[in-house]
Amino acid sequence: MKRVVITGLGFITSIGNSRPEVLRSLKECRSGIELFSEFAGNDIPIKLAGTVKGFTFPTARFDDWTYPAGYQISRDQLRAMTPNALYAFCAMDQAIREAKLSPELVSHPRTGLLCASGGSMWLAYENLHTIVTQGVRRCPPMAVVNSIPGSLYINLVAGFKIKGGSLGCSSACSSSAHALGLAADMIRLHRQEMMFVVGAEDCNRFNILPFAGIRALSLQTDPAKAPCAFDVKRDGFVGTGGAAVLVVEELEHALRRGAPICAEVLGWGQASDGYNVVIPDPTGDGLRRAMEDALLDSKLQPGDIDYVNAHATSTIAGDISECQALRQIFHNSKRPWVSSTKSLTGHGLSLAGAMESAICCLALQEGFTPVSANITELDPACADIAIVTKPIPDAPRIALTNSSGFGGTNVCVAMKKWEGS
Amino acid sequence: MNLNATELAEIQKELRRCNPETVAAAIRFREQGDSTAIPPVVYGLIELYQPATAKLSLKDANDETRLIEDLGLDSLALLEVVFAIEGVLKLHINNDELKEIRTLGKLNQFLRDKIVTAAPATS
Repeated sequence: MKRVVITGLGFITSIGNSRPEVLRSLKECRSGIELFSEFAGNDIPIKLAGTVKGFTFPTARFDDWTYPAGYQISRDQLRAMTPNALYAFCAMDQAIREAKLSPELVSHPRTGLLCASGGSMWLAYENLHTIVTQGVRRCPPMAVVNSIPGSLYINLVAGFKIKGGSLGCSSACSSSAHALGLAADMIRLHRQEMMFVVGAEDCNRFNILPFAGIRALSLQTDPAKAPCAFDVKRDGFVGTGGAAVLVVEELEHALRRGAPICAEVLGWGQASDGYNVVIPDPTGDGLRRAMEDALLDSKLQPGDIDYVNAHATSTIAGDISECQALRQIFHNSKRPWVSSTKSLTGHGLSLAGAMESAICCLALQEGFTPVSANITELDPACADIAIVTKPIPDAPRIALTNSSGFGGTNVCVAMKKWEGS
Repeated sequence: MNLNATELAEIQKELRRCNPETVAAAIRFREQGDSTAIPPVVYGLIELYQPATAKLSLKDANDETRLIEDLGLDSLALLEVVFAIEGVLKLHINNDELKEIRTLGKLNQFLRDKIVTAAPATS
């Protein structure tokens, strides 16, 4: 089978809108969490979000939106976009530059695109509200393409003239981890030479606040205290949006063109809980099997793993379930370091897997272990897990990143520092 | 018939990126049914939706100017223009009628014909 490497990254996240900004935030443990103006109302008990800086969406009309200088986006590209597609467009631009891709390689029959997004619930609401209150004749021309989850790949395929295979993944909060795993498979099977993997979500009250219905969101009001995965005081996740892009490439193809290689994708695994629509299996069985699959696929032993970027959203049930899975995998081996970078970024939902895989690439390439922020009192139920509560000097060589989602979907991706061969 | 404050606000919102002449023409059409107000509204909206790469500027256009080939509107942009015209002038263009509209002259004439049979509504 072909080998798979990552040759470019792009970030629009709460902790930075570029590789250097994200790297600095991770190393200095700078949080992207803020009091969110959209949650200011007295009727909204949730106050925090991992806000995306440098973008504004004052109305649902794209010509009112603003985005950071330096991105060239034409009107006909912007008109069908959702906020998450705009974030992704900017992150794609960064990843293409970093991977040193010519326009011919971006728009090539052997270059594909795998996207993950929950869609823009905001624009879906606006469009449907217009139809219901003003009639079908006032249905805006872009009402379908900027409402559905497929909006992300629709916009990016057209915007970047993608010619290879393109599709979207929809498996809740493991969506973009699935996208990375499937992209790696497409390259290993030599169906494509290169794949863009994109995770992106809006960051607004429409896509975050519905999680209040299952009491999954933190009620903390101090941005310095939440989310706090693995801490006894954790009370739910803090939502975020943005986009992350990984350029996933066949190794020989990357070497031939002298591409800058960030990390190698060694393999991946997936499994389902078969348990509940929203509650993770408390035994962690599904995630354990996904991790076992990833190790098998990657020809790794548990003792080879230096670092695990945990899914750990800071919910009471989720973190414990994941600890159970980790405990079962590593009970007889060296204990890897474990952290939740969501405690700095917030939980990006469909974006999470791509964002955290890209963060693992930074950790492997730049030689640092991300900290699990905001832990002041580690939950005794997590005490036997080697959680990174403060900066440590260790640099990981092999990392796993976990993602789990509603319905009990679980994905684990194994990545290795690129050491030149 | 004078427009009420809500109707005026709707027009101003829809045309907020157009020049004041376009807004004034839209109000004149809605209040007086004045067909000479149609071209300034059409021009104002096309200007808004025309891509920077279009081979012909609107100021050099005439009745024969083709909306797609000359002014660079793609079929989606044409739908956006029609959607905006319908919203501002309160006229409806159905699918069969839309197929016939290929030039600026056709669009203006079509809208003029439309008001002969249906006076603008000021709902």
